[in-house]
Amino acid sequence: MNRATYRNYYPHQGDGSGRRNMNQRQHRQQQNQQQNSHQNSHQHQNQQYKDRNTNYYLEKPSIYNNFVNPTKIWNDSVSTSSPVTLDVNHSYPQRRFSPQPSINQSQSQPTQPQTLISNPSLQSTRKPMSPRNQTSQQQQQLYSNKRYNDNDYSNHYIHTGEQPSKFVRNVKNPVEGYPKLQRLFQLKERQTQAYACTPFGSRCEVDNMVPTLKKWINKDQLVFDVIMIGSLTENQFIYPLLTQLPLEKLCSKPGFLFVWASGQKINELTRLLNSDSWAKRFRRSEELVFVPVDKNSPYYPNKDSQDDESLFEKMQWHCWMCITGTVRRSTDGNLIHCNVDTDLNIEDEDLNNEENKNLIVPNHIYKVAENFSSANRRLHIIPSRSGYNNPVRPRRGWVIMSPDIILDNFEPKRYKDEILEIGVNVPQDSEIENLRPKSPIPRNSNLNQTTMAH
Amino acid sequence: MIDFQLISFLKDHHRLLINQPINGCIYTIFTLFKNQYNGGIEYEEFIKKLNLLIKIDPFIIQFRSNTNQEEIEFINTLNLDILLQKLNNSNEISNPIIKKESSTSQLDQLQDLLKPNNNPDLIKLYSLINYTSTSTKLSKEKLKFTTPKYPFIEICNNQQHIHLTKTNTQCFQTKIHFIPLIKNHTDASLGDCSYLDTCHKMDTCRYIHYQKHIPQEYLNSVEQKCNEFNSTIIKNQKTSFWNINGSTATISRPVLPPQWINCDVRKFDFSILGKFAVVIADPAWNIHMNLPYGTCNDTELNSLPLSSIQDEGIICLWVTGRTIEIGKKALVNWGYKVSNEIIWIKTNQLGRTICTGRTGHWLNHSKEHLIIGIKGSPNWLNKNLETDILVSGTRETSRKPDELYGMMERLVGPHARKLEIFGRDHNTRFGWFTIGNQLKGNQIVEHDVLKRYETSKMRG
Repeated sequence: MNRATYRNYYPHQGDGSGRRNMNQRQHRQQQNQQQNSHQNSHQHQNQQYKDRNTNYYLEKPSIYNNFVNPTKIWNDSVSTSSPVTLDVNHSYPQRRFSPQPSINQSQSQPTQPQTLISNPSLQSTRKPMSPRNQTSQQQQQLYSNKRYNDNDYSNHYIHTGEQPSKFVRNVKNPVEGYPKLQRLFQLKERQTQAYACTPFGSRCEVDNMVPTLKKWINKDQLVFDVIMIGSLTENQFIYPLLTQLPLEKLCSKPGFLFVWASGQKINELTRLLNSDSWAKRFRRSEELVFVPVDKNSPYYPNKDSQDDESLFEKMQWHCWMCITGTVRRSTDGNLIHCNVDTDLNIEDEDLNNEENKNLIVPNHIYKVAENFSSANRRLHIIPSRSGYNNPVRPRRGWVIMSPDIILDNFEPKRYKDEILEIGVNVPQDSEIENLRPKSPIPRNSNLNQTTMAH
Repeated sequence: MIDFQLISFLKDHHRLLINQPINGCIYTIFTLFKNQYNGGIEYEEFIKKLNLLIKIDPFIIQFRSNTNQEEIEFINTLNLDILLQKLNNSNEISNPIIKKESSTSQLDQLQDLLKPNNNPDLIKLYSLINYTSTSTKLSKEKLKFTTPKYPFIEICNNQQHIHLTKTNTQCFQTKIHFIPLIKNHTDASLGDCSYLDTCHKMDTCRYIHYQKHIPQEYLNSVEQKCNEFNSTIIKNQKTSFWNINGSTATISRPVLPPQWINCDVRKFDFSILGKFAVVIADPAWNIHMNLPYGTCNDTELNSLPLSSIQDEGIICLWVTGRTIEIGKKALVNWGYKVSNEIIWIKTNQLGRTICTGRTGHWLNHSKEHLIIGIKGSPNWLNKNLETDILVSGTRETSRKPDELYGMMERLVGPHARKLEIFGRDHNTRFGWFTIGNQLKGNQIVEHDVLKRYETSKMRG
């Protein structure tokens, strides 16, 4: 690159105030240095793998540094063969790096406009031309220069149709590689099972649900700590249920609510849960997401909710976790165990074939509720017909209300007696207390919540 | 030999076969028939079978012209029905309205009810609901040929292979393996380090760390294959006539180089930039955590003049926790309709979801939400080509996966104008305009934008 073209390239490098006064020698030295450093960095980057922190664009030095200058391209390749002429003297602003990257705008701004205005050529610049031969070259480089560092699963999906979530490696055992957590999950499950009540079912038509629940509240004075509403189906009547039901009477304080909302219902329910009266009583605290493994999964949501407006194929089920009353994650260890589970679950295909087949709610989500709250009084209301494809099965420790539940054995008195026997909460266990993730004890006033603990 | 399949095929699809676009063309019918029954039937054989039918009953099929038997004008289903009944040795002619009770015992009837695929109306309904439009199919097919292929190497999930390493040659040479780095201070019983490759105390940390082993030879061959494929892309783009978001003229135009403006987004005059097809914003939400960068409060974000930046198009907003709702409200404020939500499943060095480290308040967070708003009715979008799940590894704090750019480029087309707000240096990208306060300097290539920028500077 000779100096003339260099000047064309960077007509007013820097902010103009410092570098323009630079004498020729300095200029040349700097030019050499810059060229060398470009070459070096290029070689260097070809030799070794990029670590994932490198700038995405520096990985393509050949395009990036030899920035396309339309004027130059015009001169080099097109001007001889084309009847149209381009005024070469009109230089084209390419890279204007301010000498110091300034984050504070108010300080750096005054210097820039001066540069811009003081350069008269800028005001009459022409639109850059785009010769065809350059197009193919440039795009070719654009496509082929991405060096391998990690798999691009979205790209892979385009070419093969294999879902990105298929490649997540800990679907079968989310805590793979963490023996302490594995032990914790084992203990938690054992404990939940030990204190779980008989699986109860209450078969009840959707229209009849609110009266029945009202009877439970007023006559039998039943209270539940964990209430799940809805399931993995689209045709649910959650909204009427939520608006008609005095939920704060059915739910203890503190209590936990899990509401399934997906597809078309999500906006309607969002509005309800955001309304003042609701937001005051139930704070939306987490959003759980369940992802079916592929399109053949029984949990694939598109079957009955395909939507022409949708930009992407929907593959998610959302479940909101709401909290009512006051719980503190640092001090209420007898009530809640925080950070045991994650807010994401990917369907495990193999598990699905055995015990998890076509459940109305995946086992994992039940477990999240069980692991989070130590309460034993759990209710699941399914305000929809689920059909023979998704049978509603009873679960130990839960009362399930649905028009399609296999069992219909719920009696308020029997339930109350049973709870009296096992207790409202699971007792604390010293080993679980040792193993479970806990909030750090604040050493100073400036508590840093992002600190991660092993 | 009379072909029952052929009779039922003609009977079931008689309307389809005669009407547009098939118009009763014999050869097309033959191909359709062949596809439907996966048979290795030859054309001559097919014609023979058809002639046999005509021989039995000359009124079954009527051709356009008697001499040239290439186009069918009419298929007589009643006659086909009669023929089918006769062949089945039953004298009963089925009444199209009253369905025949096929099963006798009560148990059979019950099982019939339980079979979801037994009811023809249900099947029709299912096929209507699950119908994929031809434009989607074509677009998907086109994407396969015009999207650059990147090397892809699967990660071996066999627990045993970690210990066998070199001996297990076949798998070791074609898949990525993670080799545990056992040092003197490592205590293998503790399990994996939560930070893995990002651990700051690698020299003293007693948890297990891993080294990624990429089969180099295999990678080279994969890369070569990808490059070979990628070199055909430009040709493919030009030959494809199916274009939902890009006229043929734009294909020969280069993608614009990265452009960026360093500015305080909160005070920036968005009218300088013009209109965009897609906008990505990753605001530094104030989520009451000590973060290594300045945050932006909710009212500031809500008052951004984003309503003027698009006439129609889509906007993507990264949100987290409580800001999911604020973000949705802001989108509605700016005149958008919330249409989708993309989930970024965050993975660690080992390709597993992140499940440790108290990353959320009540539960651990192993995903992030990106809400997508749509404005107007942009019919130039390449809809429904990808799923709303994105799996990608985590990088520096708050750095989002690059896969999103690809997804958006495929959605709006390569030459649509794309804007990223609150971007940093690593966000600048070919075809994209980036603004944010942590960018180094400016680079503007589009001249109208440059002119407007200069005049706004001149005014002060």
